[in-house]
Amino acid sequence: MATPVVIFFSYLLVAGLLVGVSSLILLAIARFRPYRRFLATLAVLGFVAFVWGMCALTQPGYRLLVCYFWLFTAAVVGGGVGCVTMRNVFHAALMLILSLLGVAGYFILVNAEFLAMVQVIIYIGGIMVLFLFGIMVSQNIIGTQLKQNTPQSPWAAICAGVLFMVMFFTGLFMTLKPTLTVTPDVLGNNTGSVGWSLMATYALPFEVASVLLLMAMLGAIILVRKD
Amino acid sequence: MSDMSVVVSNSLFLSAVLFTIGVLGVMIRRHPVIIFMCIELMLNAANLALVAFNDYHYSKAWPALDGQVYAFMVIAIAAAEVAVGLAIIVALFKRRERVDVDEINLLRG
Amino acid sequence: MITTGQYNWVALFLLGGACVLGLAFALAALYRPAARPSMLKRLTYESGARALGDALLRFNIRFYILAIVFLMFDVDVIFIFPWAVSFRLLVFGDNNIVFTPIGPSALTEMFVFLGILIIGWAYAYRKGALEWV
Repeated sequence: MATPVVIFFSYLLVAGLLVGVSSLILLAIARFRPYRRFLATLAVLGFVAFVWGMCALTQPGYRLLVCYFWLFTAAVVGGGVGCVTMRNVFHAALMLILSLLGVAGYFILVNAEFLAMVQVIIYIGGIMVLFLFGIMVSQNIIGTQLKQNTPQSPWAAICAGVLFMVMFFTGLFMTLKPTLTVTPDVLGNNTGSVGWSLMATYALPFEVASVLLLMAMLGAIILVRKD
Repeated sequence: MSDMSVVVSNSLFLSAVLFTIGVLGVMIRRHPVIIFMCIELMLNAANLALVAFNDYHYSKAWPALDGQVYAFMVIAIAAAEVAVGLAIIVALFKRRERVDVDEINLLRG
Repeated sequence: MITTGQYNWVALFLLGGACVLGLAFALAALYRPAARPSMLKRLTYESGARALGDALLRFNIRFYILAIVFLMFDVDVIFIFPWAVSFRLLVFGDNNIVFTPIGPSALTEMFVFLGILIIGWAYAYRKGALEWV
């Protein structure tokens, strides 16, 4: 898989992206104004190298998959950490959106295209909009002088560490027997397969979900209405 | 083959990391909205593991998408949960100016 | 990966768009005069009305009610969508027989679903959650 050509192009891709982005950032900083011609040339070269590597690698390949994987992992973990650590609630919600976008991209990697679409439409387009509205109707965002953390942070860290260790070793010792790979025509139309499965096997959960959504809507409207 | 197993086995660790971040956020933060968002993170970690396992066990002998349907249901229920839970938080914010989760203890027995 | 192959083009498209944007800014930085921002240039609408206050103010609660209603119908539409995509195969089968064994139940399930949805819509309508007062 990893022939020298592929390795060369993937390094070209990453280096080009790094150089291009960093020189663009430097261009935006006023202090580097004297070097702006040099930086702009560097940015152009970096992005050309990036596009070149991208074009050379755009075929089903291992390297590219790993690139995607790390990209989405960075988005998911970075967004999650940002969501936990941001002091401003609004910024935390924006970081959560980044994390959810990473999860959506990850769904495409594991062959769940329909779920990726659902993730973008419901989570980002619906739930996060509701979160942002909830933040905006409930407080003035600038003036948050709330104490941020609870005093039991060390205990929380210990608990979370133990929990992570449990999950980590469970995953480590789980023997994943290799199954046969699937040909594309079997997977075919992901949305249609989910629809079939929803209608044939999961008919009752489908109806129950609609009742649940009805109840949630009624309850939320009753709770929020002012009268 | 190799690429598939790379993604699935890494996805378990990614899911574990995401879940731990969510648990940590629920335990150390005080703002009710942020606690709620961390619960969303945990739900997403579970979804990730479900879908990855479905992809791993998908074969010609077992061409079912149960894990994806589960994840779909989880997303729908998360929507309902967010609507009601955030409505409760908004109602709390309407009653008092600053909400600290340690102060909301009227229901404590 | 199997289906990921066709999404390479999506990634290429996104990255190509970002590259074009970056190139445009970089080339513009080469040729434009140095920016001298002044108070007047930093206004939100440089030749329009002066903006009052901050965007981060407390919003009216009725936006929130609308957002709840939107979210619920959003989820409902997402439930209907896979049904609509697999409708032909569900109801008429592979070889255009009139009803597959699960065809009638698939039809009635969706009508029950829509009926429950209409109850919610009627409630929201009667409570005035859909009106802009």
